[in-house]
Amino acid sequence: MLVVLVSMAGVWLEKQTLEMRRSVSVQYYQTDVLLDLLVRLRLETQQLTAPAQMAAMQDLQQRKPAKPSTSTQRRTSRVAERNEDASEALESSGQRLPLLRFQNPFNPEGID
Amino acid sequence: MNAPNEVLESDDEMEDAAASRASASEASSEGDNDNDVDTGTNRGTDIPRSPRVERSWRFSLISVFMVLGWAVLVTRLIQLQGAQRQLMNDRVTRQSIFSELIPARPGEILDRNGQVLAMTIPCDSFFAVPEEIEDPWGFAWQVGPILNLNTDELYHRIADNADKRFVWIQRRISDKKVSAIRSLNLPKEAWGLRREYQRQYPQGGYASHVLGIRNIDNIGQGGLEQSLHDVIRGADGNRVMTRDARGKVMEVAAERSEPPTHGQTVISTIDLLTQIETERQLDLLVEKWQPVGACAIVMEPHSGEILAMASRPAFCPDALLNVPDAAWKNLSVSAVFEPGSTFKPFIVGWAIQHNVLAFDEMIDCNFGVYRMGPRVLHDHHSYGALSVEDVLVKSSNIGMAKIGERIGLESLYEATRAFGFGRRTGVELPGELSGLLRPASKWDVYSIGSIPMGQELAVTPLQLITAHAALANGGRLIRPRLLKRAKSSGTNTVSDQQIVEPGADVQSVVLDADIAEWLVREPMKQVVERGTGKSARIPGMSMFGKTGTAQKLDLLTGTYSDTAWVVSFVCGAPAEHPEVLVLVMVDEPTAPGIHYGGTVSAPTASRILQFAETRVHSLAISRSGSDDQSSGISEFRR
Repeated sequence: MLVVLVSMAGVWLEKQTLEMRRSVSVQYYQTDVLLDLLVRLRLETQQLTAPAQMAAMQDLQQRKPAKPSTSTQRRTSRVAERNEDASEALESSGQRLPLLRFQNPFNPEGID
Repeated sequence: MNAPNEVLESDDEMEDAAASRASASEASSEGDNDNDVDTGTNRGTDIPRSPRVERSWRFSLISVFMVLGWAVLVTRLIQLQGAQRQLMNDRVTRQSIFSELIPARPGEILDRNGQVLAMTIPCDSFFAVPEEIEDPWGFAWQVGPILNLNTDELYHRIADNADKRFVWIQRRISDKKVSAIRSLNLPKEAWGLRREYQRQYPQGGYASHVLGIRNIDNIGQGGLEQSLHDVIRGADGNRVMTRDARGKVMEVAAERSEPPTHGQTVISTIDLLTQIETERQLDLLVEKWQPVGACAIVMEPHSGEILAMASRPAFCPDALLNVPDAAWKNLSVSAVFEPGSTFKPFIVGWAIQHNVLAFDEMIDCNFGVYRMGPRVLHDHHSYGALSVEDVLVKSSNIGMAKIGERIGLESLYEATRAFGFGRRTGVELPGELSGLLRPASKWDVYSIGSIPMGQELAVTPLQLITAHAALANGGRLIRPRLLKRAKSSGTNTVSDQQIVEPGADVQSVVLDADIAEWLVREPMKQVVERGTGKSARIPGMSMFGKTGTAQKLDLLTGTYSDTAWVVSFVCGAPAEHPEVLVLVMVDEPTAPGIHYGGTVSAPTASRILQFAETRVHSLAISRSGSDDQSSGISEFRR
């Protein structure tokens, strides 16, 4: 009886250890994904705030003040084209990165 | 006791009979010694003893087999656990533990203000496992349209490698394509995605020659990407994992895994706004004069920091298809040309330094014609006696030849070496040439007249501006730098924060400070005020400069061409305390017009100088922490 109890306790502990290890792995994975997201957003920020880009946008706005700024931005921004995929992925994932419940923005179905 | 031949009806009866036989047997065995006759009388009819012997024999046989079986098992166990322990361990390890490469993220390249010039984003690359693809045609038919690949070609790639387990289908595909491929629900064992990194250049094609590119295998080619490849690249790591019999990952062996060491961030000395303005001005020049090539360098003369470097023709790192061969060449470090008159101030300074010439001396320029041994020299205009200052202002070849005669061949050679010609500057760029400087032993009587005029030697634009920086900073020859020394504490970088430090500067004093200052404040300032560089003059700005117009060598005739020129202009400001230097070199302008350094290069150089001078002040403000990006943009627009 004692042996069985000890064995069951051992199995339970082993399961707990595995579960915790799995959690740690997922945390690392989440870190990687968030870092990737950070990089993509940083790239987009840098492209949108590139001096040449901003000057071109300003020129366009001065030439066509009647046009809404969003459409001007869209026309002038090569960035938007380049990062269209990432943006779409973000939109499809619910537009916001959940803070409490992790969800991979590039893979809305979850962790793969 | 039952009779021997009596038929026994049931098992119980048989057991009873056997027990009776056993007791009888015991009794008989006890009486054996006492009654041998009886025993001998019953031997012929001793039926009960036969099964006993048989059972004993069977028992022994089974026991032997069991022992043998156990012995075999134990032996095998010992063999496996002992003798073949390592072999088995290796086999288990091979089957259950596997590792995958974790690529290191290449570091970023920033400009001096933290603007990202080059960075890296992760992306997926798609590969197939042809061995596992049962229907190659169906696979190609499904995947081809998503990846914009020719279905037939894709089919052949898979079918021709049917026995292989890895074939790249397309590398660095977009997230959209990844999602589309996932939605196909192809057999998991037939394909896969591998994480790779892709270099991005947020500023577009600006500073492309300084930055270089990273190829599809993430190897730096050209520019800082190549010269600093080892520090930018980082070191790959690996993740060790355990899988079960079905191949499912059970856990990551963290203790056996090794995290990647991401590449280091490189902060360059480039000022993005100055770079953009330089390239814009260079584009305008190219459009107007249609030269074979052109380049411009902006340098801070005291530290040797290069604020901008541009070359034409150029390439855009985001569009590398159909780039002409000439566009890969960074003319700033890999073009060699005769410097012409831009070389003259060095010789004048050297002559004064070595007391063969005085500041206030007059030199007879023989009214434009001077015989020097077998050679007759000419000036563009005929001059009589010119002061040393005017020899430079008017760029008199005859005056310079006479100064050369005073210096002598050996000292002339020493002067060219002292100002850094004939050797690489040591800038952090690959492919830098050392120029062409023949040994003094090969110089002849022509050299004494040619060298002071900037002929018979070839220099790179970077060598030339570095030598002029020595004049502008008080006579110290410094090593030009593209790596910034100071750390940028407020920079938010993704890769490691460790900053690459530049190498030690090579410094040597080539001229006394007062001679260098005199050259800059007097003759070179007058070149812009009233000499060959008048077209560069900016009202209200105290600047100095020197034009250069050199004939190119005609490869067909082996003589100087009368139609092909390399024109250059080097200038700086303010003349009283130079803060920035600009060099514009134009190789063989072809558009109609007068092809002199003062007409082709000088206007562009002065516009770049005007911007850079303002920018340098702005950068000085930024050091005290009151600069912001918007002010930079407004300057740029202005």
